[in-house]
Amino acid sequence: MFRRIPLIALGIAATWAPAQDARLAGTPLTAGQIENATVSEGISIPAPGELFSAFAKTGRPDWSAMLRKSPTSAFTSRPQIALNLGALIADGCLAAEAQDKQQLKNAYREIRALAKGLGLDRDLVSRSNSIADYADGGKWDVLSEMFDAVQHELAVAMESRHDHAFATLMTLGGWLRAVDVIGGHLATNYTPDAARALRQPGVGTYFVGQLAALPQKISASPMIAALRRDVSEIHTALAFPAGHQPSAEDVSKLKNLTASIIAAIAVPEK
Amino acid sequence: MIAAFGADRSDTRTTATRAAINLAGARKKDGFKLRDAHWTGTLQPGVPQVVEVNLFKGNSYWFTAAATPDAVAVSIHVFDESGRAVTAEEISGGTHAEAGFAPVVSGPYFVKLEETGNQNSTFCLVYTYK
Repeated sequence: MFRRIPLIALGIAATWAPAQDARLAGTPLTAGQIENATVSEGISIPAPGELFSAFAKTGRPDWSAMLRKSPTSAFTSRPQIALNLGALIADGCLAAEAQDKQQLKNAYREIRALAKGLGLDRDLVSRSNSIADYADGGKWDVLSEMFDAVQHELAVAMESRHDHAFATLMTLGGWLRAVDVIGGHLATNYTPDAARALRQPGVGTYFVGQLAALPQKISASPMIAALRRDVSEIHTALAFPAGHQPSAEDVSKLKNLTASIIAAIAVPEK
Repeated sequence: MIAAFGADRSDTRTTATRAAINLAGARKKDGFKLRDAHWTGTLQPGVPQVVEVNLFKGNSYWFTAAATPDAVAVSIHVFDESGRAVTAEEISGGTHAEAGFAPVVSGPYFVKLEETGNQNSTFCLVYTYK
């Protein structure tokens, strides 16, 4: 059982005021602790569902309007498969937000097809029946968690095969699609407060670094080269200072950029 | 320091992971969603472990850590990107600890785990959000 730590009122404006205990931890982190902090891709990079959860509170997003036709699974490039796996996982989370059973099933079907292309289909716990059952029962929160679990299963499988690059590209694909969705929502429903909430300097820094460190045989492809350039631009757009307020034009540019990336990675490389 | 996804199969990591997931899973009844990914490692007494997380204004988060029985008093603290401690609801229970936090600014934060004791222990950190 738990010992509850007593309240310590420090006169500092609370960023969260629960009805019960709240306390300030005390000693700040050292510069060394910050610099050497672990970045664990699974826990340091937000899941698509987290972005959707946050921006659901900025109004009433029309999630259905942001659904898309799943890209063809006829990819031969393994990096491209990984990117689209991530984007499809985000699509699955989006379909859960939109409470669209058919889109959920479509996304999951395509995910399985792409996973097969990477030899990972057996690493996926079969969820086809669960997805239908949960959707029929209106368990949309469970379905969002389910797609997060799919991403994690695939990432673990890729890492076990020493395919860290593919795991990262998959996570990147999911993040790009999530930002694309949110950007699309904000482009037509701009509010300064919601635009400020887009801020993600740490995530951009992570992916810029990871793309720069890709093995040469992966980074040599024109698609990856374009991605490095575009992700760097997205990072710049999302790395604004904490007090800064992106304009409606800034959000629109971000939306156009992410949309073009998502469209580009969905076209099979020759 | 970059840590890849881990297929952590050691017994102690499995024990700590199961405990953390069970504990964090209790938050689901309050509408929180559990991230499937987790972070595991070794806690040395007096040597904090710090991980970067990226959070969104609008969400509320609970960070949940569980350690193997060698741990004496695990604690979790949350810091903003400049390393300043934030106001968080903290719960500490020997081999378990939780910290609840709702950021008013989106961006990177740091979660610090530490414990007091005499022996190393294995920990697992997970988080939930809504």
